[in-house]
Amino acid sequence: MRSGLKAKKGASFIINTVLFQKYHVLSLLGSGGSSSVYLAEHLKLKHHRAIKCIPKTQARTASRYLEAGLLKNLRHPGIPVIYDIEEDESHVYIIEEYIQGESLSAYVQNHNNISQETIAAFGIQLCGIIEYLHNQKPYPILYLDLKPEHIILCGTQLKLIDFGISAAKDGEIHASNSWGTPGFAAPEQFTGCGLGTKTDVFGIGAVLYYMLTREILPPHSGIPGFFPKYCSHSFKKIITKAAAPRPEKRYDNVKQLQEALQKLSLSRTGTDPSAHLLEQITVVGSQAHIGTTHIAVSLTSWFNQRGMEACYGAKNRGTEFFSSLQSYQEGLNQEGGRISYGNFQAVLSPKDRTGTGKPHIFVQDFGNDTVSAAEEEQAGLTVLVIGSRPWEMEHGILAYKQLAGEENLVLICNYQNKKSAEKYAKILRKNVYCFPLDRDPFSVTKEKHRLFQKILREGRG
Amino acid sequence: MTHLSIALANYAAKWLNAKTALIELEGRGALAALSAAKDGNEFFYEGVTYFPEVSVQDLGMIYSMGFEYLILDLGTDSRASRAELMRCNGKLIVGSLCPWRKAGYYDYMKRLQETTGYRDMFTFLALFEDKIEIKRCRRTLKAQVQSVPFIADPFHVKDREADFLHTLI
Repeated sequence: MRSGLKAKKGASFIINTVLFQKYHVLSLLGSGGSSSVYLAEHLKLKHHRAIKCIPKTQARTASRYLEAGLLKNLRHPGIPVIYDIEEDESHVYIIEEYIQGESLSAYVQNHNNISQETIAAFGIQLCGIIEYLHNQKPYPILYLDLKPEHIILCGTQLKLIDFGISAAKDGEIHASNSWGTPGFAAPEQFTGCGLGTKTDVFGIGAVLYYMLTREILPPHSGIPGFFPKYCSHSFKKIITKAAAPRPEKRYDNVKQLQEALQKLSLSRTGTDPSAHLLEQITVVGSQAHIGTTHIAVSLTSWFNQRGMEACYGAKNRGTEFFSSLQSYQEGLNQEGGRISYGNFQAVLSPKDRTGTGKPHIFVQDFGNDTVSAAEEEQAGLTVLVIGSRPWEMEHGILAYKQLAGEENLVLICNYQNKKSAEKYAKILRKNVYCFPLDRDPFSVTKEKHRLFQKILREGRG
Repeated sequence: MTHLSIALANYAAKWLNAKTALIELEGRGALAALSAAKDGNEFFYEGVTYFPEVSVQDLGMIYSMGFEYLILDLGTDSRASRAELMRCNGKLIVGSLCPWRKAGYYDYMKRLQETTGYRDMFTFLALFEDKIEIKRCRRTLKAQVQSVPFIADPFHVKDREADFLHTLI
């Protein structure tokens, strides 16, 4: 392994070098024009990073600086984290989060007839990400290059990549090239006049249209051509309005588009993806050390990943919970009384729930304090975590008896122990779910996704 | 911790064919919940003799009963349990490296090394951790740290689980 600060032209030379005494470059991920993206490993932290390597001679170097500068302060599950920007004589290096997943274009090609529910769910997520950008202070950030190749599906989480033509709207658009991609770019991007947040609304509409039809909008006119027969009238209306050629005919902002998609989902499935009816969830365990916090953190991450904004609170926990997270969890972001990491958000105290962007759902971890959990009046759903081992069952049954009066009570047995779950179910005469074996509470696996969907359905009757 | 203690005891009894006891010192009643009588007295189950809720004063008597393996479940750290820990041939410390417990476990491990003056004497165990986290922990503490795999049934240990338990005994 060679050490060196200088990276020279040619992908093969940079591979297996150490950049800036920190990053061991492992392989080339891809390249376009004369810039390349490499997979690297942070030597001390042993975490993967993606390093964008841009020659200083390239015309878009300035826009890449802009991209990195825009992204560096952003923290959202749908936006890659920028860790650092470095440079040497010949190149600029943007060190960012390594994202593994499938592009939306590949996903659409690999799946026939994607259901409207799936498309709407993706659309809701996408609106959430774009709304976050548009809400940035002091200036909204416009993405301006929405297309399936720039959207990566990581599990069920969408992430936006390539902010190359994004711009901060401070009256004038400062972008080196805001033309976008034909079929996905709004008509005003080709004239350069009247760019604004509605330009991204168009982009979302174009992506939804592509997911539904596997076709791009007719370039320049942007008027949707055909819709498949199974497409509902409501969905057609939403896409047509979002992708209207004239900005004044579109939704005023992405929030309105998101609400339209949420109403559509509610009317089709009967389940409200915004879960406005569910403001607080109590998670409590029958005893200590059976995974109550792990499950509460997982549930919070799942809600956020589904586009339903949620945050975690720890009842009677003291500060060591958060100080441990802050000391040891890389990539954690703290702003005021809030902590975020990936899809996870937490508040240091319940009063920090208020303020800008109050979450829809508050997941409150009561530890093993079943007494306080039973007294909690505001919970729309109570999740009781019970131990699956023989010596834990008595505690589990006792805890259930303390909470049996709760209207919406759901039982989860830990460690995927179906035998214990069945035993509990027989004794308590109640459905008992199994939490899958799970190492990372912040990630959303398919098993956890299926479990939480079922729990929400049961818990809300 | 009780889970691992039971797995170790059953491994010693069934795989090593050793006369084995599992002792719960100053117990929390976990082992008592296993016995049919539930009276807190010793009981025999699947090749292992269990002594729930034993006090320090009774240990001497159990030590003289001729067991080849004595697994002591010492619960959480206390003066009494620390003294017994230092008497054991194998000193296993079980904790969690999950994000909200990591700081506490690291602090405890460092303090234990500092107060006893020994770095290599202890084997620190972390439940279900990945290799990267374990490596990081070893580097930071310069101590033996291992990940405990998931053991589905501690009373009936399987091959791979036995391989792991063998490294602890």
